[in-house]
Amino acid sequence: MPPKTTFLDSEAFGALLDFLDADREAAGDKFQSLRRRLVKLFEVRGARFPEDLADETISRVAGKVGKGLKIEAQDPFRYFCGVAFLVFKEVTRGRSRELAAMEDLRFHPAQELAEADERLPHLQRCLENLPKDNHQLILSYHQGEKGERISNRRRLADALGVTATALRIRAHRIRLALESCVEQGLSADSA
Amino acid sequence: MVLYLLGNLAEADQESLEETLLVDEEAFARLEAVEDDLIDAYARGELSKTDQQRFRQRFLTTQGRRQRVAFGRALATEMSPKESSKEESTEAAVPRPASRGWALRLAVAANILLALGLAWLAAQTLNLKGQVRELASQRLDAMEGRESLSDQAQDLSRRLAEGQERAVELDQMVKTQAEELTRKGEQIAALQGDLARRTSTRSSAQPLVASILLSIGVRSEGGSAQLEIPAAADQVELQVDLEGDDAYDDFRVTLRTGAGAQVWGRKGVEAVATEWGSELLLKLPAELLKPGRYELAVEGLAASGDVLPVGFYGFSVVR
Repeated sequence: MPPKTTFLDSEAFGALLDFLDADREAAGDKFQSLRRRLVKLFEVRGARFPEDLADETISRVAGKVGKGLKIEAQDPFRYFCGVAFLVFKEVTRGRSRELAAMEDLRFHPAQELAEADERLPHLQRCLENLPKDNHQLILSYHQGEKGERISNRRRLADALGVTATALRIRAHRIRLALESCVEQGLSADSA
Repeated sequence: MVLYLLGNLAEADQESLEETLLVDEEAFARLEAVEDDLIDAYARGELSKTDQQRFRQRFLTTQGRRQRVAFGRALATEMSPKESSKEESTEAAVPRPASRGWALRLAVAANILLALGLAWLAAQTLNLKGQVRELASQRLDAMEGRESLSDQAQDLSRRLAEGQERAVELDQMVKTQAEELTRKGEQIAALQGDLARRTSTRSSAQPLVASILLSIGVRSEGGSAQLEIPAAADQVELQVDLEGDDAYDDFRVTLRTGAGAQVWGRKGVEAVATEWGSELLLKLPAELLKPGRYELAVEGLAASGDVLPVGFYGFSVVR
């Protein structure tokens, strides 16, 4: 968890959006994209609460921008990266607390399987509810053993007339929608 | 990116890649896709032991990631062969052209499947026999007991019945597996014939090349692949499967002995697209490689000018 929490007021937030882009809608999109990437970066570094650290990073930059600090970085996102490293270094100083909090996330094979099993019926329902083209794409994308799967994807990209990267991104978006659908189903079960 | 996600990059490389990920939207999207593949590989048991352990220690660090892995497992179950057979129409939409790489890999995969299948069948049969013997023995013990004889007998009868039901299920699975193995055997025979034809048609004027495929399966495992170089071989061909880490302008490769001495190296190597994604095709004189262990380091040159590690591929040479 972050060592301290920087409060983000509406004035600082407005200044941050202006800093990201003169157009408010574009700035909003950039903000969402930036936050998502920061969360991922903290996640990869093993942070227990990556969303909190991303918000802390954004708040600190917003605070500086709100006070009129001119940021000279070639790319605004690069400046966020520097602040994110600082935030993470502060966190690692209190790492023992983090590690203690991670105890409950240790590997438990039976639990992993149980968590997968309870998602299976929801996944089947969510797959059925996908639009037909997305349904077919996600099935084809994941079909086969490792080598065959890669080969399938190459041919699928050719058939759709897209690059391999574009296909992967499209499959990732469908997968995100499926994951969200499954988690919503689980929440509804437990409600 | 796989190295990054598993926490295998040095701090400087990690920071450099993170800067790229923050400023380059496409690179970030690619990372998310690679993460999906990594989760799937873990869920399907396709990671090496080392990577599996690292995945659990370094990747499963948040509740959100645990949920994603649980989803990956559910997806793997849903996409298992039993289910995929229902989707013949989808599979049919993706034709399978024959190619040398595909044929060889399918032959190897089929061989492994055949061996695993036979081992599994043998283990299941032994296990079943053991269960039946154990049940029979327990039933005999129960018959000789003086207390709760009736209850024990009923319990054992129930367990025996369950064992018999399980035996029927296993029998069905054995039949299914046997059919699958027969089919794979036919594929292997066809592929071996094809391979023999290709080998026999190789012109005697061509240089003799010893070839090896280096893939993520042997990456970070310390090198389980083995390259056998015939005495008459002129060249060695290293086929390096990039496993999606192909988003670089070009690559730098360095071959070292197990003791760390550089044997050979190249800069400006470009990836080539294959049926499997992309790979590096490296040719070097066979005389450079003496028997022993080697490690090939592959680094990518990013558009920003940064040089980032892609992977280390170990293998042994025998002559």
